[in-house]
Amino acid sequence: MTATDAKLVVDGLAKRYGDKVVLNGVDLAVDEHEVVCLIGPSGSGKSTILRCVDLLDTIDAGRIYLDGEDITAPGTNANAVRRRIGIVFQSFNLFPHLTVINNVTLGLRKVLKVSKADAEGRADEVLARLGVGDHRAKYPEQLSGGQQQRVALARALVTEPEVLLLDEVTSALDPELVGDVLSAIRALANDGMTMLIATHEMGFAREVADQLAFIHEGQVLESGPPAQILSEPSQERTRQFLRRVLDAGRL
Amino acid sequence: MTTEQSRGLDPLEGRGPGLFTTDRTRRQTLGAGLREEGARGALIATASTLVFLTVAVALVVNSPNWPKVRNQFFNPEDFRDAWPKVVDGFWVDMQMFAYGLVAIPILALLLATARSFRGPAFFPIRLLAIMFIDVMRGIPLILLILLLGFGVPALDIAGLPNGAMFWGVTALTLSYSAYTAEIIRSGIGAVAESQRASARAIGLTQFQTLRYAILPQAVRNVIPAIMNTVVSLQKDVALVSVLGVREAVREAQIITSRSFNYTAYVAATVLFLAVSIPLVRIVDHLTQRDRKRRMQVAQ
Repeated sequence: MTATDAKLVVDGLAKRYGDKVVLNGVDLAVDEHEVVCLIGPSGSGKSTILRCVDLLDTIDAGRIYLDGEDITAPGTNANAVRRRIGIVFQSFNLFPHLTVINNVTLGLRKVLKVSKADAEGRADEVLARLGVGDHRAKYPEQLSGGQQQRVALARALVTEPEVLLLDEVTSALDPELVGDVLSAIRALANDGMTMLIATHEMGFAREVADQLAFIHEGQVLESGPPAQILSEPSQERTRQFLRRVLDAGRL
Repeated sequence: MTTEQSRGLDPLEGRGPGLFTTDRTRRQTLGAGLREEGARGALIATASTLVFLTVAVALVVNSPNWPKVRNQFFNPEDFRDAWPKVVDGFWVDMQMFAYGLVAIPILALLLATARSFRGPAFFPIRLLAIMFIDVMRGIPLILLILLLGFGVPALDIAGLPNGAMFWGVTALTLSYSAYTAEIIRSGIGAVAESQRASARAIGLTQFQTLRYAILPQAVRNVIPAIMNTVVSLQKDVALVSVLGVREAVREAQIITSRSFNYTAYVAATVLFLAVSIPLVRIVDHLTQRDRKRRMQVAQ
């Protein structure tokens, strides 16, 4: 794991909320066009890692590099960094007062100063690719959870980020809606999008990930190719976690 | 085995196939009963209102000094004489109201935005906004009007307007902006934190996040509360009369001090009510509609 080669490197990341240590020295690397999935029990710190990478949370120790450049260094323009990274949240977080098309074009128009016509052209293309093009004039509350999440994905993708972070994007969805969102992400992976994904969907993780990282109590306990982690984990904790997941019928 | 136990074991026992029919019949009777009750309710309401009004009017009219009071406050001749002047004055009130309606939202939005900026770099801005709001909310409005209306023109600073109306409206604007800013800020607080995160995540700056993601939702949350402030402002413009601005109350004052008859005040009251009651009804309607909308979303 060298700091300069990979697209995204997390080095010794630590984060506390008050007295509670959430991340305790996380090391991760995501190569260009690679998909890394973070697995682990709830509360292990997966979401916090993603929020820190997008500079939505301050960090207490460690460094994060994007293309070898330290984005956690003082004086870094956080807005500029966020433009290069897209993130999709568990609960969609679409803007309820804006239509689908305005949700998706807001960043293009206000941040990248793209003209309205160009922005809508690009947004329509992405929405259509994700199968929600027909809903462009609707408000988020008029859409199903799966549709909202694909609009959220479109909003993150339309600015053509170099890295995409997905934070348990299917956890808030009804089971029958999960498939559409997962196949959209699968298509992105096939297109070579660099992604860091926190997920509970083990079957999906095995299929789409190049690397799996098992997070436990704010640390990467082990990482490697999915086949290795899922079938012959070296750590007892990983084995316990996988057994529980297996019992819950999610594999 | 007791009767209770046997009922517990078979709840439908003894009710037979007639169950559905009886139930429906009962419901129909109940419906008719409710309708009857509704009609009777309206009748009772009307009757009790009439009785109440009759008693209240009788009490006033039969009070020992009523003839004198009627002449002092409800003299038709004085009313006719006062009316044109009071209406002219009321027109000035409505102008001040209109200026306030333009200036207050602008200043209130600026203050709410300044108070909502985060991060140590914006501490001075936040501090200034907090101090301004505290001071403006802490001064009785009438004192603020007197201080600005008499104080600032006395300074005789070149370039500053000296009009009493200008400083009256300025005092109203400062005070009302402070209150409105606090209302907007409570609306900002009610917008989920995740909205801010997702706006920052697509690269919006802190200001853009407020402007395009947070404020539109915040303002929508507090429209009923803001409308109440509007109703209040519509009446408080009359306070500017203390500066000698010839608005409705001032005109009425001038007339009463000449004739020693208070009918002019009643004329002014009628004018204020003519605007404020419809305004209050509209606010009520908006509040109701908003409440229904929220309940639908909650379902």
